[in-house]
Order: sequence, then structure tokens, then C-alpha cells
Amino acid sequence: MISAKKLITMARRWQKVTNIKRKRITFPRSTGKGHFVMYTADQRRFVLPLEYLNKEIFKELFRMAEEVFGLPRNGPIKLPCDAASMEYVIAMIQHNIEQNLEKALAIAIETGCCPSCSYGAPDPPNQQTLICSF
Amino acid sequence: MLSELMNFLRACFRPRSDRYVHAGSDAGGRQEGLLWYKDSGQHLNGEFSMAVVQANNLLEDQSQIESGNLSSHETGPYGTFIGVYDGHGGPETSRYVNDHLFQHLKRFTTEQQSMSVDVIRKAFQATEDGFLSVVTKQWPIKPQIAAVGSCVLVGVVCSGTLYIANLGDSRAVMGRVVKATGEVLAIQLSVEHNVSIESVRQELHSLHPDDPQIVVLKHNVWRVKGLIQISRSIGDEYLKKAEFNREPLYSKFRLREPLKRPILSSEPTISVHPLQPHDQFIIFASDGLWEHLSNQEAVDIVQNRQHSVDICSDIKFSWEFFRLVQAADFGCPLGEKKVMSFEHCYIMSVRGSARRLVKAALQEAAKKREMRYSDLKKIDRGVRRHFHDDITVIVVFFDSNLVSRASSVKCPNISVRGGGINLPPNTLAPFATPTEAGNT
Repeated sequence: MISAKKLITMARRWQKVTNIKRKRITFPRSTGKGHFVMYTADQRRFVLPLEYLNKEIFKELFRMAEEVFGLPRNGPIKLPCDAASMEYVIAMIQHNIEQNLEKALAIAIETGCCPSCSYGAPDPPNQQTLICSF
Repeated sequence: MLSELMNFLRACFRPRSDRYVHAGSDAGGRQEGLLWYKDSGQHLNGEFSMAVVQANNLLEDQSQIESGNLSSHETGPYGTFIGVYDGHGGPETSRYVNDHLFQHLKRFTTEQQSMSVDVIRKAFQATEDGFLSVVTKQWPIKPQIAAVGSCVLVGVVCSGTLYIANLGDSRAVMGRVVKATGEVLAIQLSVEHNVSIESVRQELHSLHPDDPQIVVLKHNVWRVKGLIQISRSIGDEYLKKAEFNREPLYSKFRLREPLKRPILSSEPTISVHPLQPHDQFIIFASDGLWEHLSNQEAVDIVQNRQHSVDICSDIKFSWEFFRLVQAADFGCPLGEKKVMSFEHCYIMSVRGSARRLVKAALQEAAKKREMRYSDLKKIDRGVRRHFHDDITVIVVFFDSNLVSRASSVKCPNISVRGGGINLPPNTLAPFATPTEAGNT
């Protein structure tokens, strides 16, 4: 037989453990040192190195985000393009594309590569051709 | 050895405000990256602390504290003027207000030989008129000047009376001690004109009954004509006069219907508060601070009670330490024992209080953007505006002995302007005119 006293201490211990777990669940998602976070219009979360903020294409994407959504207030930064375009942008940066191409890419995104965007560019589907033209 | 320690302590803690009077202009301040701060300074009625962090490519927030003679007449009245100007669309309007509003206030105070609500109202009007003439002049060569504006928050302390005047969404919050409990309560002193507030939207609807689209909800944010979040400002002439809402202004600022009457107003909301002995301090800040901190959180950070206790317990020889501080500051003999008084905590809470507030807001901003505070600080101006706004904070403390003294007591003028240093020459506003000579 376990004594009542032992039961209580066991229960307390469990309570502590579950409390810790619960806290872990509610903790904000951690971001690695030297990184920032942004979400695409289709709610995908991207963790990117701070150096990307100096890239012309990100400056352009931020400018577009401000025009579409206004400056972010209470939440994280959201960009008006979908995850596929973002992955393409990242691949381009990793392959060191030239600056004027970066600008062209930003224009391509702006003029309608973003089928899942809530603001709905009128004629989206020529993304493929634009990608091919690089 | 001992004298070195005393010098160190003197450097760490400022003397009590009524023991020493600073001579001449006190325009110091330090720049660390995008942060500018002046941890403590002296004004006529106590001390102040100031901090500014830049996020925009060109700092759009401007600020000033002017203490001493509030008129051009030698007999005064004397007092303290605090201004926080949060610009939008560019830095031109807030810089203009920083250069002219206080000069207009001095002119009207001189004319009427006293401070009053009427003097403040006239100073705002003269500033608006002055900026309108700048826009008229610049329009042919720089039409986008018509879409630049600024919020204006002003506090004037004179003869034991506090005047608060506001246009836009900056905010002044007072920390007042509740005698029974010793708590410091946050009391908001300013009225804001942001259309996120329902009464402000109602006011616009009643002024424009023929326009159901006067305020619209866009991406969860209310905006006047879908363009701007505030209903009152200096500048923004494109929403005040029809002649500035046409080509060659950018099409995104042009309204479909011609302007029949001004949409934005430049009339400030002014309130008058007699200062009480238990009114400890006032926080004046642009909305960059208030979007991250509540009024009470900000007051608690300034009051910093927790922090003071931490310092005391951290230092092993705390008793000896504070005894030395006391001796250094107040000239007591070293052997004399004194209990660490409220004043010490007070001195500690003044020093750097504005910088602490800015830091707390940046930490909150980093949390919202799901990143580290240390990384947020590495982001360059310009792109930084997507992570937080320009933030300006001025905390003004009141020493009850100094508040009650007559407004005719003469003292040297003090003039400090927030941030705005180290600007490359090509970033200066083209029409920034020099301020009245010898105003400091």
C-alpha cells in the first residue's frame, strides 16, 4: 500500500512535470541566432539569415508587403507571395545571382507569380516562362 | 584612493536636482548604432531622461525639451516645454515643427505675458500655417511634400500647471503615487486621434455625413480614406486642400472625388492639469513605444522598483556603497549613518529611464517578430521599419520643491533635441531654416 503522503508527493511531482511540458508547448518558437522569420501568404514559416535583409530582392519584397498589408504591428512579418516563389528567391540568392537579375525577379513576383495570394493578381500563370527566361 | 572612488560615485549618480544648477545649454547625448540617448539632464522643475531609436531610413521622429524662459521678455514666465513630433511620409514636417513650434509659443507668450491654452492653440495654428506656405512654395518642384505630415504632442509646465496638447497618436502618461498603498498608477493625460478608436471614427462620420467611405477597414486596420490612421496632424496638405490633391501628386494619394472640405484637422486637443505633490513623472512618447507597451507597464519600468532592489542585493557591500554615495552627493561626513532613502531609488529610476523604456519596447518587438533582441539590433535603418517604428521617449520627473516655485524665478535656458545627429549632409530637409538666434 502506498501511503497518502507518498501519493500526494507523487502527484505533485507529476504536476510539475506536466506544467513544464505545458510551458514548453506555449513557448514561442525559437529562432536561431543571426536569423529572422517571415511568413508567406500561404502561411509557410521561413527562418532566414540576417544577411538576406541586405539583398535588393528582400528590400523589394518588404516594399511590396508594406504596400499590400501595411507595416506589421502585432504579429510577424508577412510577405505577399507564396512559399514556392520564396523558395525560388532563396535558391537564387544561394546561387549568387546578379543584382539586376534580383530586381527583375522582384518585378516578376510583383506582376503575378502568386496564385495563392489573397490580394489576387489578375493574371498569374506566367511564372514558369519567367523562370525559364533566367 | 578614496577620492577616486568618490569621483566614480559622482559620475554614477547625478546629484539631487535642487542642490546643483547646470549652467548654459545642455545639448549632449550619446549615439550607439541607431539608438540615441541622454540618460539624465536637468530642467527647471526636476530632471529628465530621453531616448530615440531610429527605424526609418531618415529619422521621422523629432523631439525637444526646452526649459527656462518661455517668452522673449526677461521677466518670463519661466517653465519647461516638451515636444514629441512623429512624422510620416518623410521627415520634413516633424523637422519643421521641431524648428518652429516652440518659437511661435515664445512669441505668443511674450505677447500675452503669460502661458495659457490660447497661447498653445495659436502656436499650433501658426506652425500649421507656416508649413502650408512651405508646401505651397515647394509644390511645383517637389509635389510629394503635400503628402508629408506629423503628429504633435506637447507638454508645458509653468507655475505648477501642466498643459498637454496633442494632435495624432503620440501619448503622454503620468506616474502618480497612491498615498495609501505606495503604488505608482499610470494616468493617461493625452487624447489620441487614431481611427482605431471608435469615437474618432464617429467624429469623422459626423463631420462628413455625405461620405460613407470616410474611414475604411483595410487588412484589419482602419484608415481615413484608406490612406492614413490619424484624423488630425500638422501637414498632410493633400487631405486638407483640394489644390494639393491633384497631379503631379502620386496617384495612390489622389482621391477620386475632389476635396470639398478638409478631411484632416490641425486643431489640437488641449487639457490643463494642476500638478500635485504625488505626481512623480510623465512619459511622453511616440506611438512606436505604445504599440508595444501598455501605460502601466511603461510606468512600472520607469519606476523601476524591482531594479533598484536588485542592485541593492547584488552588491555585497551595498550598505557601505550607498553610504558613500550619500556622502558624495550630499556632502555628509563619511562616518554619519543614514538609511538608504527614497531619494536614492529616485535617482536610480531617473537615470536611463527613457532608454529602459525603448529597450523594453524593442524586446517586445523582437518577440512579436519571432526573433532575438540581439539580432533585431543588428538590422539596418530603412529595412528596420518593418520590425519596429521610430521610437521617441522623454521622461520628465518632477521635484515637488521645484514645481511649486514661482514662474518668475530666473534660470539659464536648457535646450536638448532628441536624435537627429550624425545625419549625412544630403539628408537635411531642403527648407529647414535656422531657429531663432540665441534661443539656448
